[in-house]
Amino acid sequence: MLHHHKTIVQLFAVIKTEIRFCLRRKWSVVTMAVICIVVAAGILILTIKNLEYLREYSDMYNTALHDPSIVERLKAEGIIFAEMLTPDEIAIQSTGISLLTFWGPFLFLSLLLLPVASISTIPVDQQSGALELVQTTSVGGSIYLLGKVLGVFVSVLITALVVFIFFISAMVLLVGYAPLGVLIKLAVFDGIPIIAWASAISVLAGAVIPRSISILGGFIIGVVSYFIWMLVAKSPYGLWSLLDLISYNLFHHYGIITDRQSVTAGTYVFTCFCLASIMFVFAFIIRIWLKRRENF
Amino acid sequence: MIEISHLTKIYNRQTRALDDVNLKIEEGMFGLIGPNGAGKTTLMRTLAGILRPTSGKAYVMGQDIETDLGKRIVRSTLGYLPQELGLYPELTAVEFLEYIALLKGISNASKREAQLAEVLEIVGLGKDATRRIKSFSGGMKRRIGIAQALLGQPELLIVDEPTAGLDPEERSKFRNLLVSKASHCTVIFSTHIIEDINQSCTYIAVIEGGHIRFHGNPRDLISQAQGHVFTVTAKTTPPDPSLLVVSSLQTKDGMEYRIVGIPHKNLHAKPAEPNLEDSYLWLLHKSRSKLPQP
Repeated sequence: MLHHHKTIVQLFAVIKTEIRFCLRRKWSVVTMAVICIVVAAGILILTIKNLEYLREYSDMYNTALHDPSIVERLKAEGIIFAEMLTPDEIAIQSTGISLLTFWGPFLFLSLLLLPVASISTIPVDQQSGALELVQTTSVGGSIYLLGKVLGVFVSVLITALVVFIFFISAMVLLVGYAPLGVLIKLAVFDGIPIIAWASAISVLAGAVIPRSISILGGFIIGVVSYFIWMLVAKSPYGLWSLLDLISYNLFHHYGIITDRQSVTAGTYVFTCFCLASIMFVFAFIIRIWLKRRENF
Repeated sequence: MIEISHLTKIYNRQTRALDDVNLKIEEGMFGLIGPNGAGKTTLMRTLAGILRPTSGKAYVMGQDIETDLGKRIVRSTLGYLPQELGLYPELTAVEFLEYIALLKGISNASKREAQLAEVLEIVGLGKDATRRIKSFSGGMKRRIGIAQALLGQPELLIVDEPTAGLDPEERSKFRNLLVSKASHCTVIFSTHIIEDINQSCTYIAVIEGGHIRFHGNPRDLISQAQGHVFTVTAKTTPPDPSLLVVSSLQTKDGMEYRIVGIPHKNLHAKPAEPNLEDSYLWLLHKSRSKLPQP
């Protein structure tokens, strides 16, 4: 019991220190912030443009709906009007189209760039001698690795959360509506797994990649990660699609816009399980390597 | 306390950093001296459980440092100051020390705070505790390194080149601190500054090329150099290139050289009382067979 308590305290110490280190050294945090800001700005700008277009279209639609001659003429050609879109539906439609355009690049950039920014986490410790110092304390190698991964993950997550809050506020202010449910679902089911994967794979790979080539290593890890996700997630748009990997069509809001088939919750869980298994095997190999190479 | 038998460490299957080292280290202050690349750091890192020996055994406090259990037990009572300090420049002094304290298993908050305050006071950084380490001078960084090694009241303190970068006053303070710690634990002090060893260690070992060349107390080493230290005055250059010049001093009669070795009779060399530095140099050069034999 006492041993477990000590281990948990040590784990939290590594996490807390890594968060402090990340927030002050900034590479991972700045990279995440830049990705989030670019994507958020893209979604906002496109939504506003779409909104203007849809409102104009809606006005024309409204006029046509109340002109019986037009309705009859189109009916003769087999075209039947549906219900007129409400202002909220227009907003949902325009936000949905923007998300469709920018959510994929967000995931792609996170998978590719986060490893570049975070891969030097362990090499920095190796180079400065901090790893040597940690090795002489009673903390275990697995706890150290786990703490580093969670530290980077939490730092990046905090950054993304801050930008997300600003994004929601800006959307409400500028569009007058924010599909909070959809955005939270996307962030939780899609964004968090991607960030967790990118943090974990970069920190773990950093243990075997020398500091001198860490940026190149991070880039390679990012590319490899992308293809792993594509293969595992079986994107409906093929291996080369830059669009969403797992939950692209998981939610009906997307389905309504695109008329494409959603993946089921079971498929989603299975996909996450496959990815988690790959990460677990990778972590196990790194742990063995650290034990053999660094005696840690 | 520490028993090392036939310890060998080979890097990359070619560099023999330690070669059949046998050593026994008791409680107290133990000095390890040797030239750069002699194997001091490798020996200390092996004793700290960082490196796995290629062959041979090392028992620290009765524990085999090659086993996981032994390593864990040793690390729970170890204070270690590496040559590369391993500090996080982005953290403040107190944040860094708290981190190390938690990793050392000092989980009780009040005990931890008390220890942090104590070690910061010992190294004289109490007022700078909340400053970031990156703003510290080299000496202050070294003192933070020393402070972290003292956390957890270690029974074994391994310090690798601890006085490098410290000014004479700080060096003296630090030596005294180590001597006071050595009254109730084992301190292994590695350095190439002979003066540090001379004024603090009860027992010493001289290591060179991965071999232990001497093991005993400093007086025994000095006695080995009796009759091999001289002073000689010459106009300009050293009188005999085969002799080792320990120091030189400009006088009104020319240059006065302090030499180690066996000079020619016609040099009119005057015998001098050897000190630890002379003896250390005599030992190294004798082992390298560069000095003329009697």
